[in-house]
Amino acid sequence: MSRRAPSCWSSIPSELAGVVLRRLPCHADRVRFAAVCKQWRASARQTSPPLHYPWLALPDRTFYSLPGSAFRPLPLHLDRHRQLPHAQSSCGQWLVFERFDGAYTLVSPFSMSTTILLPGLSDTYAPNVPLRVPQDEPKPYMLKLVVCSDDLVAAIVDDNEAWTYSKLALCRPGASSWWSSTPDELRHLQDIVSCEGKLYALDSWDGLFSVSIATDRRTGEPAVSRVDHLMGNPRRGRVLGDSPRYLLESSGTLLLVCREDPKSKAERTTIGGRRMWSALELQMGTKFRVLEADLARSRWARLRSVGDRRMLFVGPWCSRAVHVTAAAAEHEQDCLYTGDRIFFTEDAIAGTYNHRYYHKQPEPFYCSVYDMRTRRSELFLETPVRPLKGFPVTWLFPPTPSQG
Amino acid sequence: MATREAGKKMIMLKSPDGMEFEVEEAVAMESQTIRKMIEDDCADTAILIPNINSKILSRVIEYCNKHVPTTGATGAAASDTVAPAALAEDLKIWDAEFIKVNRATRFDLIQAASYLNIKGLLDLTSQTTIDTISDNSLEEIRSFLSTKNDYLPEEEQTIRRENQWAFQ
Repeated sequence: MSRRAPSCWSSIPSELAGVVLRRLPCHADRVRFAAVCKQWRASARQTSPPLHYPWLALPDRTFYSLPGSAFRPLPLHLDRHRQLPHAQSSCGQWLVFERFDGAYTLVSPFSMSTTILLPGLSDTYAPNVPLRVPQDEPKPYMLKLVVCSDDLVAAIVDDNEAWTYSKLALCRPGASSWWSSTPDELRHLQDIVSCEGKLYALDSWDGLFSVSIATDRRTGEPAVSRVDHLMGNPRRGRVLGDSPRYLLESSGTLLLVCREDPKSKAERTTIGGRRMWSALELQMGTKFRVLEADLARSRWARLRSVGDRRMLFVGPWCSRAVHVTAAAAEHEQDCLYTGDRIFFTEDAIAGTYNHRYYHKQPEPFYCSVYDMRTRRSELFLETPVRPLKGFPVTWLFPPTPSQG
Repeated sequence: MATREAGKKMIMLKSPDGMEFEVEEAVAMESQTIRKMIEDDCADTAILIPNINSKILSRVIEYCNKHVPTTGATGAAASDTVAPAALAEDLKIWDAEFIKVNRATRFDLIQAASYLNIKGLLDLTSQTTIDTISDNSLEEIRSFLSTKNDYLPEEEQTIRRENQWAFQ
């Protein structure tokens, strides 16, 4: 009975490693914990699966690892991949960079040894539409990218065919061209999300579609084999208004998060030097509606709560739900991280960062959190940033560690 | 709980090295593990606490004595005239003194707090370790906690390269 445990941190019993790890929610600290020695790494792997709190990548190319850490420079070695120095999009752990030759490199700041290469959008094969964009026309532009699996990437692409036309494009990593949908099937796409092996698309009329993707037997290229219209009146007015919307997957269900900015008030105060202050006011007044797809009844059902163990992180590039484990919630000192909340940044301001060059003066940057229970937003993070051209704000989500 | 001042129930705690500690039930129940034993009626006369020697157990009891809710507690802290904020501040100072122990003792205290399930003590004892990991370089963490680096140089290189951002 009186076994004496060795007083040595090298051979830390896994339950004690768990005690320490549960109190280290910051991703960077967990990585450092695992790097101390082999026993610690083994403990880190077996005790508690790490929480997937995201990083917030800022327009000055630093990041903030939630919850609560210092701002660190994003580890990106852009010269190695010959990218243009700006990001085009992000998906999960990936930042999407356009290269000088028009191709894309997906870089994971979590692990610099992994990248995904994709062809340029000019190399798009589409049935019934021109194969290549003539040289003098504006290039196709990537609006959103989703890494569906190891061998499939989907994107919403604005190809300038018609000025409001954004369609679906598919690609296999390492392939030499993209495949794009025909205009009749999917158009004016707003958002796409991958859920349980299927792709779902939301169009400008709040129509929700499920998109089946098959592989061409001869070429091995992906192609849309079937589009099912699940809900929403085709081409008939937006039932959900013009507010920004984000399509999310969470535990096998689809969520639509509608953001309601206090518009009129914001316009009134966006005068003179008070612009940034009004950005903060805008955030404070922002409300959200969360709808869950009820596919059986073909309708969106309103959710009053997203649950005590679920938080949503939304943004134009990448939005995700994060589940807080009971153990983590118990040890989380800051109740901001314990669920039923939506974290968001000011997209409109983030958008303006995109079009600027180096700023000599740092500008204030805000990130806020909306509490579903109190229906109020509060400021969560405020820092001065010096925006770089073409590097908007986005969430980055640590990769789920593979088993074994 | 409405316990009468005079008739406080006492519990005997025994360490594996044969020492016995008589403590108030309320103090012992700061430990969720002991609370469960008492509630399940597994603790009629004395409770043997395995794995925790008398030196560590006496320190744990000292902690619980200080942290048991003040109603009915002994000493000056029980006075109604002390404001809750001042009381919390006093506890904080006391905690800071309490945790000024060597590395081996702290390790034993974490293990004891974990086994006995005393959340406050677990928070207190693990905080130093957490701060060490959060605020220092890998070399400093290893040196503070005197852990042995058993990675091969090339393994360490790979870990550092793949997670460069965490070591900046």
